[in-house]
Formats: sequence, structure tokens, C-alpha cells
Amino acid sequence: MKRVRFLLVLFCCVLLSSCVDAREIDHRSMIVGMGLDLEQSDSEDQGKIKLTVQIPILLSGGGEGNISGAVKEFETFTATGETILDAVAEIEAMTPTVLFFGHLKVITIGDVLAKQGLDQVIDFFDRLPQVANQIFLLIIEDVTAEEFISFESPLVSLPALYLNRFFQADQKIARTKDVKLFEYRRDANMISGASTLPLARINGGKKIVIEGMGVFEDHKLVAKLTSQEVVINELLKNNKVHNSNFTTKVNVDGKEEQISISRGRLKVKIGYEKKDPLTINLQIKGKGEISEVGSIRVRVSNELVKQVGENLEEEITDLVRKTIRKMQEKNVEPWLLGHRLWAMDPKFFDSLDWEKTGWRESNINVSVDFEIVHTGQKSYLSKTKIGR
Amino acid sequence: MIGNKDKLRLEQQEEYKQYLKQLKISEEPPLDTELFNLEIQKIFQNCEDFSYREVVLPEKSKARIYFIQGLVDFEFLQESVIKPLSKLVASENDMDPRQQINNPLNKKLTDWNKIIYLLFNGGALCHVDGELPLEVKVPSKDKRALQEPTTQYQIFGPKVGFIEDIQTNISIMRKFIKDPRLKTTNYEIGSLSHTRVTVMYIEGYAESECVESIKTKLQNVKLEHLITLGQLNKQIIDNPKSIFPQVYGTERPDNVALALSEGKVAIFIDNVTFCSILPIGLFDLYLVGDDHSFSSIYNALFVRLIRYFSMVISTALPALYVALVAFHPELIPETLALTIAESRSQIPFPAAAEAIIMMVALDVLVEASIRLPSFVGQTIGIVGGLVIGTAAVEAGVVSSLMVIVISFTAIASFTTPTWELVSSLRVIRYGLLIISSMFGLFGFVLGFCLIFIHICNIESVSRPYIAPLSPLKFEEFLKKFQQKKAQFLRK
Repeated sequence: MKRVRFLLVLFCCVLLSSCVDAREIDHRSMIVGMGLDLEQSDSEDQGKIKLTVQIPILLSGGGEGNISGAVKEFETFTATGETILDAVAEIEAMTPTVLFFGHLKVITIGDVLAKQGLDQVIDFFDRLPQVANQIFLLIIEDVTAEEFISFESPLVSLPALYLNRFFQADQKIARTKDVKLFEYRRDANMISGASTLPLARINGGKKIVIEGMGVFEDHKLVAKLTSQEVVINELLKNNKVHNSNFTTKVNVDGKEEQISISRGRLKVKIGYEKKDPLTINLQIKGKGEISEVGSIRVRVSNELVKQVGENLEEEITDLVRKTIRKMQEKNVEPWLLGHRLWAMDPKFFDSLDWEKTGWRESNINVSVDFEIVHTGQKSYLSKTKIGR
Repeated sequence: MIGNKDKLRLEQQEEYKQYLKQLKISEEPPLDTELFNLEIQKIFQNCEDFSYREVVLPEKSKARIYFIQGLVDFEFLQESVIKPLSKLVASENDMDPRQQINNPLNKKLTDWNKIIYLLFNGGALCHVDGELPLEVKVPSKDKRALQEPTTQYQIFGPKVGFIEDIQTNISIMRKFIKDPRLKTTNYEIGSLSHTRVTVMYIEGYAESECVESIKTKLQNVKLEHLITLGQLNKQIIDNPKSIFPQVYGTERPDNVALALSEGKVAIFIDNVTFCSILPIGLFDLYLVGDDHSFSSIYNALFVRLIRYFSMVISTALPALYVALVAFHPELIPETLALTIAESRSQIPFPAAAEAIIMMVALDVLVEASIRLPSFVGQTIGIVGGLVIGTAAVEAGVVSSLMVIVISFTAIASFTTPTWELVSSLRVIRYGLLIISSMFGLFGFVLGFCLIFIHICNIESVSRPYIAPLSPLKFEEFLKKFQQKKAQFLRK
């Protein structure tokens, strides 16, 4: 009997003390997307953080005629605050249920805020346990993050879902590269303190376009890379890049033809000549295949293939030089070139004064060797899979 | 220390002895026909189905054949016992009348208990003046024909199941295993029911310690009446308080034959169509004789994997769903989370309450349909399906996703070949659901740990319940997935 009484008391204790943090999924305001801007209006809020959250409106599903699971609409809420938490608290006052960050996948950041500095944003999300480090960061050009997050694409009804799907699907390498919070943090902690984030804009007020990368130094947006430069950015950072596309012009029988190269694979070997100023030798080797030659009448001869290869070698060389020069002018180095040197020879690295003149005055030698390996994909059995 | 129940049993056995004593009959059956008749009539006083035939033998001595009406085939008795004895009178030969009986058993019955047991077991008793009574075997006429088992259906395999007659069941087994090493030992259990229990095993296959242990346990069983298999099982298993079945009950002789050949011991009980197999482990409960009918091992492997997968699903799915929805929505992929949130948006109950409502409704339906005749059962199925499946969702009482979760759980639970394990898993499902709805995934994992600790702890006749997984015998473990010896390893 004593045992039964004990168990009863224990059971009651468990019942009374538990279920504390249980909150049904429909009793949470699921934040799927978030936009961060700097308040620019001439009010007293000017210069404060402007936070926009996107919350899906859940209609009763499962009934006859309804397609269960289809999100019909979403609602955005905007609030300003001295800190992000202030703004979050203000938004919490606008919603009936608690804000739930567990499904937050993408944070969009207005470029005005990005230029001023992301340190506050990064710090907040780095400390938020529900968000983890897996969220994508995105810099919005031309429009504010608020406008961007409210823009509904006809392809995917929920903008935040659109962005998440965009980054989860591969083959975006030619134009941009997804960056997660932890990747941004990792790069920013390297010797040169530079990192990159993808850029997005609304094209003509109609379509979402995600291409190019913003380059950050000390958490401030200092430069932008175009979609072609993104290829070089990836190449220099990871020593290789796959599935890049190039287009070149070739003179065939007195007529200029546009030749497209797909599945371009580039590899780079980086060599350092340790003298002052530093000389960096980049030996690039590339392979690709012709996927379009403009007109069916154009015969893909050995000469044409050779010509295309040579053209590409020149163009890639120019592109690499241009991209590096651009970064040298801004004195920002997002490719870990300095970091690798520091890891190999820290004494020599210290003698360079990398942050001030070391990188800016480095000499870069580029050599490119490009080979066309296929001229079409028909009956091409060994082709590699692109994307998922 | 003798428990209250044991005390009661002893008292009841004592009562039976006292009953025989107060009839004031002699210790041993008397040789004189009249005296014997007097005493046996005392024992069967007010038993109007008790009857006898009298035959006058040469030299005016008498023989009486006692039997219980309805339990014996009277025509057989007439032809093989009464007629030969009557002929003996006509021929006036000086022969031992016992030799004239068609099926003489020179077994002298010196004990009243044996006589009573014999008569109630459908036998007849022949008492010749001046001799000890003699047993006459008469085949019982009240036997139903062998039929297909009604609870354990199979696609392949023999279409024969056990019946209520223990002797027939044992003879079926003899047909399956024609070997003298197939041993049987009989016991009589129940001070009131005197039920015959037979232990069957193959000598050299079954571990002798295991057989001895079961025999010892059976000898020590003290029951007043033994009517069902469960009553006996509770007495002989090692952990009667465990929720997991430690005995495999089957009504298929092919299952028993396979189990015997694996060195297991079968226990048959009279008047019960099921046979107990032990020792068994958790994995044995998922093996069906039918699996051996597949000529491809991959087919058997697949169905077994499906069953093991269903075991996990049927135990854990509602609990996992509730834990994820109520505590950890961030672990659900976002599009699914939106779907769930949308389907739950107008539901007045929390997910745990919703799950319990659905599970109770389902179990009520199952319980109702078991007891009803098949034509009403179908109606129940349709009505229940409509109520649970459609109306409840449309009325906004439960979410459509919960219906899917519970239906899948229920269907998965019925892939378990043993009904008793289905019932056990059902109870565990409720337990896991409650602990998960209180503590989320932490509770879910805690619940699973408790179950694992428990099944690792229990034994069936000194054999670990999760053998051969622990202690790990890899080749034996592989056999649980494929029927033949570990062919993959041999090659």
C-alpha cells in the first residue's frame, strides 16, 4: 500500500511539474524568413535596427476541397529597436503566440546595414540556440530587406521558402554561392578577416534574382563580385571550381560566332615567391565542353576547338587579373591566400605587413591552360551529374 | 513462506482428498464385483451419465464394464468388448476373459484416482470378478475434425491446426516428426479439472537443463483448475510480472515442429487448441513457419525486416509524433512543419490528447470486432473507419495527419505474428506516448531505454530474452533474418 501511495505521489509530481516547455506547433508563430535593415526615415527611429519577420498564415487544412499543407498567404511584421532583441520583443507584442525561430532558414540583410557593419547581427544570431549555425545569410541590393522579404514569387508562395530552396539546390555556382552563418564566421576569423555573402535583388520589381557576392572585411560590406567573378572567387578560395559556364566569340568563315562552354572545371596551383613585394603564381588548368556554337552550320573542327581553348585561356586570365586587381584596390583578400602563407611561414608573413601593403602590392602571375574535352553531350556516357 | 494463494490451493487439494475419504471407500479397489460396484457407485453418486454393462461369464462369474455416456464410442465398446465377452459365454471356453477383449491393456488399476481419471478421459473400465479392474481404450467420439487454424493464417504451409483433443494434437506432431527421439511426458494438473498436460521435446536437440527445469516447474504447479494456456504459462515463466510474452502460443503444428527442431520445448494442454513453446526470445516471436516456404531467402529476409520495422513503428510512432509536434518542431522539415501546423490549426486538443483519443477509439474498435460475428465485425470496421477516418477530421476533432499516424501505427502493429505481443506493444505504445507527451524527446528516449533495460534483463527458462543479440552470436542472429543457416557467411 505504501508503495502504491509513493507511486501515486510520484506520478502527481511528474504530472504537475512537467509539460512546462511543451508548446504545440500551431501555438508558435513560425518565423520562416527575416529581414534586417537600418531605419532610414527621418523619424526618431533613424539609425535603429529595423526587423521584418515573415510568418505563414495557417488556414484550416485537411477539409474537403483544401489542399492540405499548401500555404495560402504570409504576413510580415516590422518593428524597430536599438538592438535586434528590442525589435523582436516588439514583434512578439504584435503576435498572439510566441515567436519560434526553429524554422528560420534565411536572414536577409539590407546593403545599407551591411555597409555599416554586421557585427551586431552576427552576434545576436550566434547566441540564439534555436537558430544554430545552419542559416543562410543574404545581402539585398537596391531594395530594403523588408521589401524583399515581402515580395512574393509566383514560383514558390513563401519568399523565405524560395530562398531556402534556392540555396539547397546546387548548380548555382556560376552566379553565386550559398554561405551559412558558420561559414561566414569561419572566414571572418581568418588572417585577412574577409568573407563573402551572396547578393540578391528584385529585378525590375518582378523577379527575385540572386547573383554575385558581397565581400566583407571586418563585417562591413566593402566590395561586390559579379556573377563571373564569383567563379574566380570560388576557384581561388577552394583551389578548384566545377560546373562553371563561359561564353566566347570566335571568328568562323569571317563571321563571329558565340560559343558556349558548359561544365567548366578549373583547378589552380598556388605558388609563392617569398620576396618583398610578394609574388603569387597562379597556374590554372581547366577543362570544359562545347555546348552551343551559335549555328548548326558551323562545323566544330580541330581548329575551332583549339581557337576556343586559346580564347578561353585569355579570357580567364583577364578575369582572374581583373578580379584580383579589384580586391587589391579595396585592399581586401577573401581567398585565404594570406592565411595559407601565414600557416606555412608566419615569420615571412609578418614581414609583409599584409593588412596595409602586403596584399595590395603583391604581384600576381596568372597562367591558364584550358582544354576542350567534349564537343557535345549526345552519347556522352561518362558525364558527371550536376546538382542533386 | 507459503503465500495466501498457495495456502488456498493446498486447502482445495485437501478438500478433494477429504471428499474421497468421507465416502468411506476402501483404499484399493476391491476384487469382488459386487463390492467394487457398490464403492464405484458411491463415488459417482448423482452422476447420471455414469453407467455400466454387465456380462455373465462362464462359471457364473460376472464382468462389468463401466463408462461415462457421451465420452465413449458405445458402438466400439459393444463390438470390441461386450460382444467378445458374450461369445466367451456361448463357447464355454475356459479362457481368461481379459484376453477376449479386443484391446486389452494389462494395466492393473490399483488406485481410485486413476480409475476416476480414466473414466473421465473417455476410457472404459472392465472389472472381472476376482481380478483388479482393467482399462479398456475406447476412442472418444466427441472430436472435431482437423481444420485450418482460425487465428494464425498463412499463405503457404499446411492448412491444419490443433484441436481441443490433446491426443490428436500429439499424434499430429508425430506425423511431422517421425523419430523416436521426440519425447513426451504427461502431467496431470488441476486438483479439480485434472487436466492432462504433455511436455514434448526432441532428445539431443533440446537442452536437458531446460527440459528438466520445465518439468520441475510443471511438477510444482498448484492449480485447482487448468482451463487455459495462460494459467499455466503464468506458473512456469521466469518473469510473470513482465509485459513481454515469454511463451510463444501457436495453434500451428508446423510452427511447433520447427521450434522443436530448434531445440525448444512444447507444452500441450488438453482442451486447448494452442500449444506453448519455450524458451523463446523476442526475435522468435517474429518468426513464422510460413517464412520457410519462400524458396528465395530474400523474400523471407524482406518480410522479416518489414516485421521488425513495424515493431518499432507500432511502438514509437505516435509518441515520436507528439514529442516532435509539441516539443521539438524545429526537428521537422519546414514544409512538413507547415503542413502539420496547418492541419492542427483548428484542432481544440493538444497533440497528446488527440493521439490518446484516436488510440483509445482504435482499441475499442479492435476489441469490439474480435467478439462479434464476422458479418457484424465488418460493419463495425466500416463504421469505425468512417468515424475515425473521415468524420473526426471533418468535425475538427482530430487532425488529418494524426489519423495517418494512428492508422499506420495500427496497421504496423498487426504485422506482428503473435497476438500476445501485439497486445504488449499496444500497452507500451500508451506508456511511451504518455512519457513523451510529458518530457518530449527526452522522455521518448528515456522510455525506450527503460524498455531496452527491461528486455535485456528478462529471461525465458534461463535464456536471455534478446538472445542471440545479447550475448551476441552473430551467425544465430543472422538466422533470425533469414531462415536457412547463415548462407552468406558460409560462402
